[in-house]
Amino acid sequence: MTNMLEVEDLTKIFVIAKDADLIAVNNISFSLKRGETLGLVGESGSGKTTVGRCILRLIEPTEGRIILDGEDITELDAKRLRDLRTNMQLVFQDPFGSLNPRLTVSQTVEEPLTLHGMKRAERAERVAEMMRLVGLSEHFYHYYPADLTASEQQRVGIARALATKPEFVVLDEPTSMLDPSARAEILELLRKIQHELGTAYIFISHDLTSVAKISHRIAIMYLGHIVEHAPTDIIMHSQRHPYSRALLSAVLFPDPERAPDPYVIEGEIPTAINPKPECPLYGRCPIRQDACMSEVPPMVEIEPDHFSACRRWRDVAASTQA
Amino acid sequence: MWLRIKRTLRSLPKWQLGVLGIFFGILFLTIFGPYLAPFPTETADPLSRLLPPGGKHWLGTDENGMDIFSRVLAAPRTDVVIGVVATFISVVLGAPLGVLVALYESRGKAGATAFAETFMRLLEVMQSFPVFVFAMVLVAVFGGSITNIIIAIAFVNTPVFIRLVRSEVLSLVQRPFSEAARAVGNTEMRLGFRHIFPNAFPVVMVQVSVTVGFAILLTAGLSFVGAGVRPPTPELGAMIASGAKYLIIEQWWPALFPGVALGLTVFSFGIFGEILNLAMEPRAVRKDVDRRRTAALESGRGGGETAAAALPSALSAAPGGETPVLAVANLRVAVGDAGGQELISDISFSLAPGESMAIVGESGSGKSVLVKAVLQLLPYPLEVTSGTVHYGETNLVGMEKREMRKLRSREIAAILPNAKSQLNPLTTVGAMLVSALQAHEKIATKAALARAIELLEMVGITDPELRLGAYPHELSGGMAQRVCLALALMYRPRLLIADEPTAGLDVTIQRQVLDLTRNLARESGTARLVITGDFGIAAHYCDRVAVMQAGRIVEANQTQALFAEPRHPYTRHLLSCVQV
Repeated sequence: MTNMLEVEDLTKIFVIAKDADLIAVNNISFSLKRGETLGLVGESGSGKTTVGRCILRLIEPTEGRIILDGEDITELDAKRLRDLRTNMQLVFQDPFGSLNPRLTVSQTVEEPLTLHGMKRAERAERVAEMMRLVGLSEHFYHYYPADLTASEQQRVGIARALATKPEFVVLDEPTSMLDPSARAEILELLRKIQHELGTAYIFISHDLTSVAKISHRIAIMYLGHIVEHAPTDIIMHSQRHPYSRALLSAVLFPDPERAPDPYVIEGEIPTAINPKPECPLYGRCPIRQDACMSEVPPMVEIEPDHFSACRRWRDVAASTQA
Repeated sequence: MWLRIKRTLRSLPKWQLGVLGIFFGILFLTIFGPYLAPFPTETADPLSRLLPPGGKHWLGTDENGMDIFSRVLAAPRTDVVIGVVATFISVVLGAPLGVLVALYESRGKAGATAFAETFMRLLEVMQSFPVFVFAMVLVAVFGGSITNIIIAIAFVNTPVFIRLVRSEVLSLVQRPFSEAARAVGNTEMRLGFRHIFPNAFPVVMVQVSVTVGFAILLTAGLSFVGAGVRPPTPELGAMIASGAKYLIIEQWWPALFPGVALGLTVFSFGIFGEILNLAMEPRAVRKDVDRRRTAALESGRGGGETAAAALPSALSAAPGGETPVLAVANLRVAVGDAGGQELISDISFSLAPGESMAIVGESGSGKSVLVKAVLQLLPYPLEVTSGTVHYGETNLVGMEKREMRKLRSREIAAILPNAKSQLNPLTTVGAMLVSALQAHEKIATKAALARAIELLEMVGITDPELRLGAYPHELSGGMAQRVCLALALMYRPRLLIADEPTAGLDVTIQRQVLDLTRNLARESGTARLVITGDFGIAAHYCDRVAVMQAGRIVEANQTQALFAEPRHPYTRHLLSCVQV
């Protein structure tokens, strides 16, 4: 299958002040196939949200190309871009905040269709289809967002995003503000939708376990870089980047028998303002060498379909904390 | 719509209903007043000048012998129409301009900010000119017709609406729903007028009612100084002016009655704005929400009873004869007034010295209410309706506030979620620690500073000397949580209550903070009560786990046993949700 979406050398720099460039996204590339889910995992400040916004051009990328179905969308004008929005959508982190409090559920779901120029009768039919898809019955149509539980609100957000049947949807932390049971419901719903409609997802989250449940592949981000990128199984079981390993070992599995991996990285994520040309993890890395300081390590395909940006990827599994 | 009005009316205090009555009365007079007047309102009658109230002239007559009651009935038409029309023009001009300026500004293009800044400064110049003098000049130059008064008032009020709408839109455009509207393909214009402006509308309406009142006052003021509506047209300001000169010879009625009418008009418009705002707030209209939640609460109760009863041993501290640090017995918390929905129903558990227990539940389970009940920090109108909370031998329920405060910081410490927001933003870390130390013991500032450095070292903050001078906004979330921990553990408390201690922290930082908290607590023999929604934290950082649902503990057990063999269906359900 060919790639539906290709992101090449994407960079986003926010100029904060004179001589202060915040490099939120630093030269990253990845691709997405039809009907596939790519998980984008990182902590706050990793640039994962900015990546999502750039792909949809809700934020203008500073450099790089975003190719959707063979067309570079970084070059489109506002009109063409709006037409294309029917094909790429976004689901937000904040279920309530992302809904206009003055529009009813059905108005919210209908709007993208109206903008798309769909006829009234067809719109009504599509709204009904979407509401069924996300499991909201008819008596929800006239409710306002404030009438809904968080899980129901998020279903409305998903119905709105899927109304025009886009080829791919960016899911920006869609479950992070939900309780565990609501989170499980929404993840299950997203999986079902992908199965029925063949929608491709970019699932952005800080929660590796949620991402692993739904993604075919996972890219780990740190300080604007993708540091490791591989199929989900490999990321979860044989990480080849110290940050990936630390991220996984920080997961507290709900099972007292499964003791957490004592592999902890010290300190906190540094600033992305005017970063030094060195490995982004250098300051916190348990296996750093002097060579890591000389340049940003390039992504290397260490085995088929498994990329790591660590010079010492061979030592990651064996190393323990100093 | 109708439902909303009905509910708003029901929620109003009585006096506001009265004012609402006056408001509609004035609107009624604006339309029908002149037809209701028992006497001609613009015809002088020299024979009946300045008659006092009574007889056939209820409110007396003025200097021209015209009936004041009739003129007060007829006057609102002039004042209110001028006020409303002028305000309407200002809104129609100002609001769209405000939206456009804000949209242009928010796109952040080069020059947009400069343009907006210049525009705003210009408006400020317009506004800083004394309104009254400005209106007088306009009217003096162009003549005192009603049209000119309206233009003058509209002109000075338009900037008010431009500024108001601009600032509202600028803040609303940052909200996620605006971004969502963009993402589905709205144009900037549609985003501004279809999505954002309706959400700014209530604020505009409040300003409208204030402005109408102000415009009426301005009209009356202009007429009072002779620059507005000319006699004999019935107008409150002009009537007050013509009556004012008779005040000194004790003929008070020609000025008083129009004055009262003016006051009531302006006041009732102001209050109407407030009521309107209340009515337009987007609020839940769904009726079955409460019922559904209550139902969930009740179903939770049904199952809870048996399972909790089945494991009494797991609820109490490990047997060893020691007095528990904390013993909660049959605790109930309810909303104090209005029927009293119960939020905590019959909760009992205890905690041995140095032991740790997790209380796990989803939002709405009552776990935070439980924390507040234990700490005696329940907000009004929540109350402990029965049961006890024993700290050692002392019952905290109903304890004197001063005693409780003493206990709270020295022996019972709490860490609450979102550490950053709990640190005083105007105080440095050092000052915070020093004042906390000095609140408890007589210690010189220098010695206290040395202790503060030790404390920061204890919670793993690097360069503690430097950090003493840092303000909370200069700290990361993890760092702020460490400072809170230092404040909490300063006196080696016997009990630490941690409510969602790592909410909002990144996962790698979460591990660091949890490890640190556990290790420090172990060192000082502090018992921990950890409230969390995360079974992972419970599994790895606590000796025992209690699961809460709808105000009850539905299951409690030793950590290993609970995860290995969950007995209550709710526990099983939650665990299946987090299964990896």
